[in-house]
Amino acid sequence: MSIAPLETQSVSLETNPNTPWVCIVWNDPINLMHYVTHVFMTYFKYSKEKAETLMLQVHNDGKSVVNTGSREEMERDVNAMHSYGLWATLQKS
Amino acid sequence: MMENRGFRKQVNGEITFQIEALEIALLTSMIEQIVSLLVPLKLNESVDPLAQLIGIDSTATKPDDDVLLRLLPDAYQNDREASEEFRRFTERSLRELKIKRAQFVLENLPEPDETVSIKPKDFESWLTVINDVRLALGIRVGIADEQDEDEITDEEDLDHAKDIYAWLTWLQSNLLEEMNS
Repeated sequence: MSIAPLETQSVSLETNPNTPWVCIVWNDPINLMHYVTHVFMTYFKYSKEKAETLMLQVHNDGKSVVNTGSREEMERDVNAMHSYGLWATLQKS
Repeated sequence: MMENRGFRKQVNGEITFQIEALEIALLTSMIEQIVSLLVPLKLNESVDPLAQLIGIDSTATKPDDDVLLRLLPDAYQNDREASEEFRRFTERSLRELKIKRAQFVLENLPEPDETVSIKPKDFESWLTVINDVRLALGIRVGIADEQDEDEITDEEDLDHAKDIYAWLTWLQSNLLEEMNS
């Protein structure tokens, strides 16, 4: 489902290819708090405690880094979050 | 009000679902609207068949419609080029997944006075489709809030939409509780 586009073109010389990327979930006024927790537990297989902590970060701070990894992995996660209706983006950490 | 209204976990692990005729009509209409919104406009235009097969859409661009943009958000916050690239590789598949789930729920909605039984493998489809409908209505209600105050009929529509939104919130919470019970 997720295909990482043009990895070679996006990595410039001064960029460390080992720099991890992050998947960020942003707060929105519509998604229910327990739905967001449910998604973190279901997709990332996080414990209820970890999922709730991340959900509260999203709710209170406006966003939360929910996973870290390669660009391809974070693209897969963002795509999955979008399929659940969560507002997510990826960026270099 | 029916005693078993809404979702209810059964001893066999399935969840039964029963709602009133008016609510079935409402859900049907809202899910159909989501499907019509998600069907790619350029679906019938000449697209590279191989690209189509693996879900690449070279014509995918950022949606103009607020609801569609919420259902298919940008993947990069401040990188338009990377976001567009991501869309070309993933948006068609995401649209198709959301349409497939929506059509599955449409086909399995209960008839009036009927109770349907939902298998555990299908819980997520029901949950995400109800979420997509709530997202869509939530965006529309938000937009309506900023409209001119002298449009009385719009305000009545808005009140009605907010009632439906509250009902969807109840419905989704009900399903989540039963899934986790």
